[in-house]
Amino acid sequence: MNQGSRRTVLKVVISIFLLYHLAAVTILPNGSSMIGRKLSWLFLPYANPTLFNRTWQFFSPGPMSAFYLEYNTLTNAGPAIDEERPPYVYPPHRKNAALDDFYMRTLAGMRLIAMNPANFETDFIPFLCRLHPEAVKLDLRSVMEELPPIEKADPAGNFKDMSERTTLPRKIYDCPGREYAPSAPIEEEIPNEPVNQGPPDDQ
Amino acid sequence: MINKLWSKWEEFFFAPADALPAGVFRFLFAVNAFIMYAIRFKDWRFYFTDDGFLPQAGVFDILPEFYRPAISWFPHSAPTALAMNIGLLICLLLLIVGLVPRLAAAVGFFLHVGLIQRNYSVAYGADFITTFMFFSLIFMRSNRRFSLPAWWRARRGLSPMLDSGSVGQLLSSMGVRMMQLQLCLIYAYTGLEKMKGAAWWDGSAIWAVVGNQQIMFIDSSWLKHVPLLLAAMTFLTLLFEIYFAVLVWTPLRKWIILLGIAMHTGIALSIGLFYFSFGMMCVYVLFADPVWLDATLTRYLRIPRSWLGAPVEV
Repeated sequence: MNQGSRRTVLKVVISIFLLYHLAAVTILPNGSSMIGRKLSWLFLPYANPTLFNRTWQFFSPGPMSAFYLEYNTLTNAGPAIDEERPPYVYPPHRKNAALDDFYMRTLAGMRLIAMNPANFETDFIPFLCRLHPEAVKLDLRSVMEELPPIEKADPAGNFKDMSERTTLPRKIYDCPGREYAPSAPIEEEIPNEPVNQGPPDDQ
Repeated sequence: MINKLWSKWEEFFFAPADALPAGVFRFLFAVNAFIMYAIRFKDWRFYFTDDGFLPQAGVFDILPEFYRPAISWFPHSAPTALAMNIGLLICLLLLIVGLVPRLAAAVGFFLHVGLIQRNYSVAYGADFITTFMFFSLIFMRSNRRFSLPAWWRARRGLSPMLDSGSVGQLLSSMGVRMMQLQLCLIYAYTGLEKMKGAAWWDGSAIWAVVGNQQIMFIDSSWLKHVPLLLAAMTFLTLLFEIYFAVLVWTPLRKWIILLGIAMHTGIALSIGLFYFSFGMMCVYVLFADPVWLDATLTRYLRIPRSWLGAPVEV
């Protein structure tokens, strides 16, 4: 085989790989489409381990609202609620611009895990419990904050003032491996946090 | 007809091009990724061991079945996770200076993907575009210019590294095109996905983005007084993302890239996605005219010509 033919064969071989790769990264971001459903078997073995299966949905279909978890710890001494102290927040709110993207990563992680109730209970709750060695239970709820439509925005207010807070129902989770032996009974009615307020300060 | 198509295909994917854009892309990408992963390294135990919120047993449970990999190589112990993080940083350092860049990109890709497999939940856009950049650099001859070897050769008066026509040259051209097309795909998909959202249709999406207290840096609530500006920014974002894949191949390339720089700078400054924004902008270098890039680096940024190495096609 002469140099020219060898080069052509090489180009054909490289082109076949290229077509396969480009097809994978073009089809799989819309993997739930008919083409994706029919052809994914061909591309998933290549794209799933290499992360080429990514969907590209930055701020789409719509920008997400602020979403975080608020919780109080319950100890064997009773509810560890201090009227002066705001509940814990996860991830703790950040204040300033920073090169450290720890906050963005924990936010992404919390959102992904919170979407899956099974993982939330098996993985995330034990993690929060580890942050509070004294806790035997966590009294937790999800909080969302949304801005009003721009037409209804308070002309004098800042974003914090304008945000509308929505809380999902509270749930009490057991901290695994920690025995519940209260010296004082845990009260059934733990006061709800006031609504329509901005998030508490950083932890 | 087939011959004509094949010759167009060949010209697009395999034609040699000056090595400067690939070299500058390699450098900028590696600097950005090095800073990002050096900072991530500080919390490696939290991200990649059972000290964090994702124990090893649940690594793939968080993923829908569709996305679970058939094979994986994530670290199963803390020492392995530590070694993989250090290895990744070493690969990025090698890429910064341009030493064994293809090998460094291949090993870096392997380590990077392995670490993401360990904790998919803490990965975000910056990590996912990094995957594609590593992958494209496996093919690119990215150290022929703007690298330590190129500088050294230029300083010693040696001829530039040349081996045009080999497999390496074909792969290098392909790697550049692959990354350019990937950027087009990312923008096109994210633009089209936005069309499903009511906030993007009614022009209020940017209001919701800049007003999200969890991610915003500065309170820009004054924007409520200029709703038309917010709507214009929303629609301009949509138009940019959807049409980038077409316009970047036309004489409007310069303008669409300037618009992209403005958009990503805005994203970086308003919500702090520095690494993602800078990473996306790194790819723009691959669209730059090498002559213009050479002149910009030497004349305006005052980078000594010897640093760039002699012009060479790969």
